[in-house]
Amino acid sequence: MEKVLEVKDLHVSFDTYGGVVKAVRGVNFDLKKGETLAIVGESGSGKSVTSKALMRLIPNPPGRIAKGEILFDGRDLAKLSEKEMQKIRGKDIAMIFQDPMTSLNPTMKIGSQIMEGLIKHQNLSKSTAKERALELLRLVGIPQPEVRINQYPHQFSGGMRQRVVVAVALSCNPKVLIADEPTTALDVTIQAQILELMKDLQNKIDTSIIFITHDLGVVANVADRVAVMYGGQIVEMGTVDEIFYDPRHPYTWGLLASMPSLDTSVQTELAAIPGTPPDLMNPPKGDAFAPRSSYALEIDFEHEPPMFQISDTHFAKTWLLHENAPAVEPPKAVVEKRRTMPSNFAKPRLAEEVVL
Amino acid sequence: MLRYTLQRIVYMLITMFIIATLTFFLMKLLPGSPLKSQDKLTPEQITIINEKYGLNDPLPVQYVHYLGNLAKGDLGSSFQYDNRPVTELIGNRIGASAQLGFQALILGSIVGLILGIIAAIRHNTIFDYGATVLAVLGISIPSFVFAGFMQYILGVKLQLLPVALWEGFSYTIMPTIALSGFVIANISRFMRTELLEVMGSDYIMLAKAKGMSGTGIIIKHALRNALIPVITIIGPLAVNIMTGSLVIEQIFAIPGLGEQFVKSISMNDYTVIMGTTIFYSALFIFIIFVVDILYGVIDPRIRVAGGKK
Repeated sequence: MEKVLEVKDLHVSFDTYGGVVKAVRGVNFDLKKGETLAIVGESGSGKSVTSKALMRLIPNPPGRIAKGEILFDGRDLAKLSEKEMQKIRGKDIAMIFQDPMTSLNPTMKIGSQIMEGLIKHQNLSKSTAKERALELLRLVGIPQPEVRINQYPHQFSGGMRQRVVVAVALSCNPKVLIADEPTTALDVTIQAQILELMKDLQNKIDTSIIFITHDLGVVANVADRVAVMYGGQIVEMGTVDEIFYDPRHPYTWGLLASMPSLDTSVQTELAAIPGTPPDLMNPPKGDAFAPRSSYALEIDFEHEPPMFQISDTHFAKTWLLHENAPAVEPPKAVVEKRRTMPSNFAKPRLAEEVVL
Repeated sequence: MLRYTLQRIVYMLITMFIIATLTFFLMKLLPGSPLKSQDKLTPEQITIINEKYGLNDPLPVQYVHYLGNLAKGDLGSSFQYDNRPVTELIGNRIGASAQLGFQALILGSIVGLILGIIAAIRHNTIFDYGATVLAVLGISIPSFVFAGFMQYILGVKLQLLPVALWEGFSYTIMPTIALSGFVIANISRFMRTELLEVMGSDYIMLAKAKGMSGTGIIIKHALRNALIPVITIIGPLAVNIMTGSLVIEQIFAIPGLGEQFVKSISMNDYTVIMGTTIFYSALFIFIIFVVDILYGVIDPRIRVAGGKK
């Protein structure tokens, strides 16, 4: 399938008084046309920073893209000027933010907020833009759009506001939609509605979605592929099935084991991942997850693991996949769900050259 | 918006009534009388005059009488200025004071906003630090010190502007600047803080994500939101200008209301003191009313909250 976006070895750093925080440390992924890629990870894992870096929305200073390429449409977004970026933002790549209560301008009518991008990117006249805005409001399921278009954000509920934000994001039919935890601030029924809406619209306008979340339940619902981030790196990436039914990285195991499912009995205690995320000002030597992992090998504290490939689509960054590694038993919750993936290689391969 | 405005007008009238009442009873508590110092009057004459002005009536009667007159716009007549009505006295003096106050408020707001916006947009640069220094000076130097300083440099040494009196526009420049210093300082500080806060908000990030340009975002999204809290301090600043003008009018020998007010207090001229107090309060309440209305114009949340959805 056609690649819309390709991120190569992306590094994002923040220069603070205390030192340089390396929030994203060498992230690689690509995004195919029409697919939904979920990026999951705990707070501070670098998922939001990655997404903002794609749109060059990291405030500079203190933030900067230290290294790497963001290839979109044959151009490297990391090197574009602010002026050129403004032509891409909102038009080719759009974004939905976490909190609908604060992401709309409180003193501006909903209609104007939707029309703004249309007028800027598609050179529409005010009246055509207004018609298109009405159409968008209808599309995202806001009743009485003719009335609603002249109202202010405080006259909308949280779920309705997020629909408006979705309408803003989709106004110019973007090729890539970045949704940064779009349902986190909503209650569960509204969450489901917004997810449904996004899936529906994705089919209609054939956009690719990067879905950032820490909610694995949401991931199972919307994503085609999943990237698990930890300590500013992608530690495992694969299709939804591969991540849920055949996970290989101890951190992914930890995440899955901590998630309740329908067959979890009342007696089962949900496993928590001990410890705290690594200090990204001085990232630990070797595997960043090793200090919190009960599966850590000696080598994990010495050398950073390379990316191993389990199938054409499944990658994991752990020494456990090395041929000399001892066989370990993943947590019970993971083993119970495990399925054999027919497309797996006979043996994990190295996806990159390792220099020890 | 109409309902909101009407509501404000009712509040305004209630406040006015309370102030009138308080002024009346506070005046009655004051020792002394405007007639005591007049040694030439015999006790009979004093009784006659007291009778004439209704000062012998019981307090509640005086109070009702006073409120009735007030409602008709009659503030009584002065004991000192040949029995002339207080309204006329205020009317003669208000021109200079109003012009001075208005000029100072406008100049202060405009310069303050511009300084604040520059400081916020170029924050942590030399512009920002410059604006901070100006603001600290404006807040800490009293207006009369600044006024004297200007009189010496601009008036006496350089002879650019007239040192005092009130005989044309050039006479208004120095007192206006002296009065507006505090306003500039306050508004610029406030504007800077508010604008910086707004610039860090989620909806500004969303506007950026829409592809809006930096200046477009500031003009269309940031300024209006940053102005909402700034508007609220205009009321207190207007009061500051009114009280400041009492001193500034003395320094520049401006025949304004403030000068007359100070004089009437030292002479125990009841009616003038009460009249001027009521007038100042009415003016202040009116400014707050205007601020409230402006608030509604700028912030849709307030406008709609008062009316129907």
